[in-house]
Amino acid sequence: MPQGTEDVSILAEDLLWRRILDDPTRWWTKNPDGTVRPSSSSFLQRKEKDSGKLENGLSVQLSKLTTQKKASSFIESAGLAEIEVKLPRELNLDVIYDPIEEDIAHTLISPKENQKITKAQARKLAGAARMIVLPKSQRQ
Amino acid sequence: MPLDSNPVMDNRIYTGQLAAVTSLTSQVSLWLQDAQKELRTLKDLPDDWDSYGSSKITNEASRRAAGLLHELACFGMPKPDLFPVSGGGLQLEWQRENRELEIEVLPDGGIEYLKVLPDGKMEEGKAIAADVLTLAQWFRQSENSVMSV
Repeated sequence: MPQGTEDVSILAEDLLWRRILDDPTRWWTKNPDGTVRPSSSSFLQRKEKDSGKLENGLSVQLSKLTTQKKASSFIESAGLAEIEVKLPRELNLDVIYDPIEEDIAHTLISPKENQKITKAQARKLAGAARMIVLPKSQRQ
Repeated sequence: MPLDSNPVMDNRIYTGQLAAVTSLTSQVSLWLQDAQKELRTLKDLPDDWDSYGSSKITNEASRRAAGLLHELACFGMPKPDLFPVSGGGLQLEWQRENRELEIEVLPDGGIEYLKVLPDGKMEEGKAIAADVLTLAQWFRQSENSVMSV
């Protein structure tokens, strides 16, 4: 599939998972009411300084092709945040199925060509995400 | 003897003011130390620290973030949450009931910001170091409004 082409087999109501790291690389914060939510930093993907490489997008997992156990196995202490596919699409971001050797569920949230995920887009993704697994330090 | 020249009273006022200043300075100094320690930890992360293939936090980003933290501490900002960003950058975040401020230090040391306004609208853009105190001042306006209620 050509890069940047929306994968029509991914439905709007499908769910995407992003790992939310725990200390010391903490990617979560607390709302004023004390509930845990992802920081927008967990939904940012920036150009690497030395390589100049801009990732094709933000790595997530398509939940229907994996399990929470498998998704969490990459880093046991990480939490999992869940968003519906329709949210990035509403923010003018593409959702592209991108299986890799170690993860058949690997999917990318990608900005349009020559763009990057903006801070507002990242904050909206983080704000709408639902924590389905809390980071280890926040588990009871 | 006029009240304002009473040496006992003057001394009492001066001592009280000094105690307040010392207390504030200690608090700021404490969060700055904590934040610098966190920054050192983040700077030492290996490649692929995020499990998504990110490179390390760059020297440019950590140096710029250290400078900003010092400046913001002196300005009286509360301690930010400090986060690593995939690609080698860092982000400082503050939130209150009615506003949020994010300052991102890019891998090349550049700065971008996001303001979340009381009505939920967002403003973002690039900034230079000199803009950061203006952003901080905007955030602290909420502090003043809360205090005046």
